Amino acid sequence: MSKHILVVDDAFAIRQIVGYTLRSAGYRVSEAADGMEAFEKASADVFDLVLTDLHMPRVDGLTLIARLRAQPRYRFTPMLVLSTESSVEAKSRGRAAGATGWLVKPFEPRRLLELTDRVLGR
Amino acid sequence: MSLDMRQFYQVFFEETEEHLANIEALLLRLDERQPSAGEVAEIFRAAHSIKGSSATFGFEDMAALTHELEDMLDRVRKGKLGLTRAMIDAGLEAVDVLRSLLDAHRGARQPDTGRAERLRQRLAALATQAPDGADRFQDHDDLRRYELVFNLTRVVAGSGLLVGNMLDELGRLGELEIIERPPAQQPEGRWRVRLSTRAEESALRAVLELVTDPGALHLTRMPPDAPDPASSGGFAEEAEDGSYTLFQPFPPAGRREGQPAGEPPVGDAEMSASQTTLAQSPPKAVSVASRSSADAWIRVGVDKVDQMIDLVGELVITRSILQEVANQVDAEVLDRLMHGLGLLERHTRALQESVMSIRMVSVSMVFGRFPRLVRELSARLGKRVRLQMEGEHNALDRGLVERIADPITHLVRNALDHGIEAPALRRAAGKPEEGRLVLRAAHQGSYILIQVEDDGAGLSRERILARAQARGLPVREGMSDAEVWQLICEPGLSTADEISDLSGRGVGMDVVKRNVQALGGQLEIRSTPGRGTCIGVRLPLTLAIVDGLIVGIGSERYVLPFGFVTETLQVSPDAVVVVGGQARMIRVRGDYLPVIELGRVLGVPQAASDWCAGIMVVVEAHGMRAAVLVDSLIDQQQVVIKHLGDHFRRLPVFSAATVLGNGKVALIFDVAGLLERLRSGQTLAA
Repeated sequence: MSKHILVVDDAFAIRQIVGYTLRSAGYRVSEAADGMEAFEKASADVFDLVLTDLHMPRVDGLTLIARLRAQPRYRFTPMLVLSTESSVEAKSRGRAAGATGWLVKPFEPRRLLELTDRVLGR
Repeated sequence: MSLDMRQFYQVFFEETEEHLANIEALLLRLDERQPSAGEVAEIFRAAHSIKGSSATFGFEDMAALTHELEDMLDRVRKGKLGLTRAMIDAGLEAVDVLRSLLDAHRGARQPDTGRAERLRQRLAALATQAPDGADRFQDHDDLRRYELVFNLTRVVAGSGLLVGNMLDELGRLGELEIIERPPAQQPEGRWRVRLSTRAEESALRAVLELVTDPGALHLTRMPPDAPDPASSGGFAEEAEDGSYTLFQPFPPAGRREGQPAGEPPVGDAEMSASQTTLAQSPPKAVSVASRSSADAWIRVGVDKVDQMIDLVGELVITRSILQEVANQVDAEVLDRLMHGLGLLERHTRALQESVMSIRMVSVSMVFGRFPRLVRELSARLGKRVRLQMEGEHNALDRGLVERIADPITHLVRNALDHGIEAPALRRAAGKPEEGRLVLRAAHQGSYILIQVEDDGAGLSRERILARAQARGLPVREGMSDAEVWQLICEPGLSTADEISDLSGRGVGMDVVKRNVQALGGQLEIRSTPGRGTCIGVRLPLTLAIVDGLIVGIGSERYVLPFGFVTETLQVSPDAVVVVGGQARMIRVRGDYLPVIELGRVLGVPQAASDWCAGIMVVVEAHGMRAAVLVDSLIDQQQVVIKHLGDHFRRLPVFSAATVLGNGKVALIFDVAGLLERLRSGQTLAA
């Protein structure tokens, strides 16, 4: 069964592009519009990878990652941040929150797939 | 892989427009003396979202501009900069420029790159410029950075909820950054966090002393630009082009093919050892009610909805075809057929309503633009105006929203320009200097009423009458106020140059009225001298289907929209008022009504001319009544409005056409327009 990825971004357009890119590489993709919705979906289902934006309404990306990490089933799940921020400081915060890696927006579809393939061991 | 971004453009355009409208509304609401932190954060987020998307779509000009806007907002959000009027103004201009860049990417026009670049620089300057000429280092004095090291008490550390509360509490004080935290399996342990805050040290202690082991809290104030120890620590891997970073080692990209097919699942014991330490998992989960998302929704293109509406329209026509056939079958079958047709009608109506509701959008789509307009126009006119909006959450057909925006804008402009007086005049009149402008939307049956009300000088009956008379417009003794106010919509009055001093509106009101009527709506004007004016636009909620009264004139069939029909009757000879041997009016329960002989006006052969033999349909629109003479009443049924082509528009008595059950096209009368022409003495004929 193909890996199931949760894509979290408040921009519908980004979710579409990321979703399209991942689906065309054979992944199963679910979407959430903010950290709160993502947390709910992640609690109701099990995902192999969480790919999240940073700034979102209600619950932001890093809080989402920290909260998911606290759940036994997501302790080791790869979680990637997809953000326009690229400073070392921002990435450090990402690492501290429990992120697996950091992808800078705008992303190249090829790079996104390279990264997801790697963290999913594909 | 190749990815054609163009297929997602439309979504990007729409989403960005929504964000821009949101940013604009929020900026207008911001009080620069006491900006709401939540609103600044919301504007920041919207700007951030536009930046991310536009960069992803390769719209670099938009991304560059939003980057500066976002940067400026970020500093305000973090308390590094105070919000100023100049920032709000620049933010509003950014909305305009971004809209025009968006249009340019849609191919609508050439982008004004010069303006975008100038604004980008202005935003950058505002973001780096500290208020009151102070430089940025003084800002840092205001904003203190602390590093806090502590162990949580056993009870707190064991509860995800309490840990969450503590983090929320700290987050409220400023920008929180978690540098180090104990892993999940080990709830007790060292926490190291940083906080950029304006709060006093004592406030920080107050939050933490309740939850930390006594004596275990170490609080250090950090120098403003201290290097971040965490940032100096390298990451496991960084892509050569900087496009991604991995915080822990993963198999190299090139070696994927060499891996066995059945790779070990992620979360496997071997991996977990290294990940646990690096991921620094927090304690047990913060509980969040897990429920399925209640508001699941999809986004569909307007064209698809329009297609559905068309199909529902076809269904309505199909039903009338069946109805027509039903009239020719024998009685036994007829009963059952009629029952089925009744069901079909009910279901079609329900289907129509639900399809129409998909097209419904909030009135705030129209109202949303007015805070900006009022702000700018009142500043230019030297007036003080408080805008109040009511009922903007009511729903309106999307098509209507687009077409009603201009007329309403016109009314708002007029209210500001001519209605509300200058502060000095208002003071002299004993009114507060600040004028009040109310935009109101309310449902009334199958109509929506949009009102623009001001507390300005009001219309002057005498001046309008004098002016109308001078222009040769029909003016009579004892005209009601409502009739006098309608005069301001006369082309003769409206286009006159000197009209703007006619206590008044006038400028372009004829155009407003025409546009409103073209939508099947009416314009209602109320005014009290010295107290203000209220202009209402009454519009049918749905455009596609109306209940119609089908009438026969000669061998032709026409439709009168049922909403305008008050009654139908036959007159006896003694109710006909004859003046100079000519029938002029009919008397209905003490009222005298003018009669419109449609058949004669339209030149229909064999149309009734005998008032007592035919049937009178009494119609009413904006307070005026008249009787329409027809030969017969055929049916009352839903009809689907088909818009008339351009050359048909020149027929002033018709608003649209429909297809009847027998497949024939019938014209729909523009009742409001008909009465209007009757009142103003214009010829009814085309």
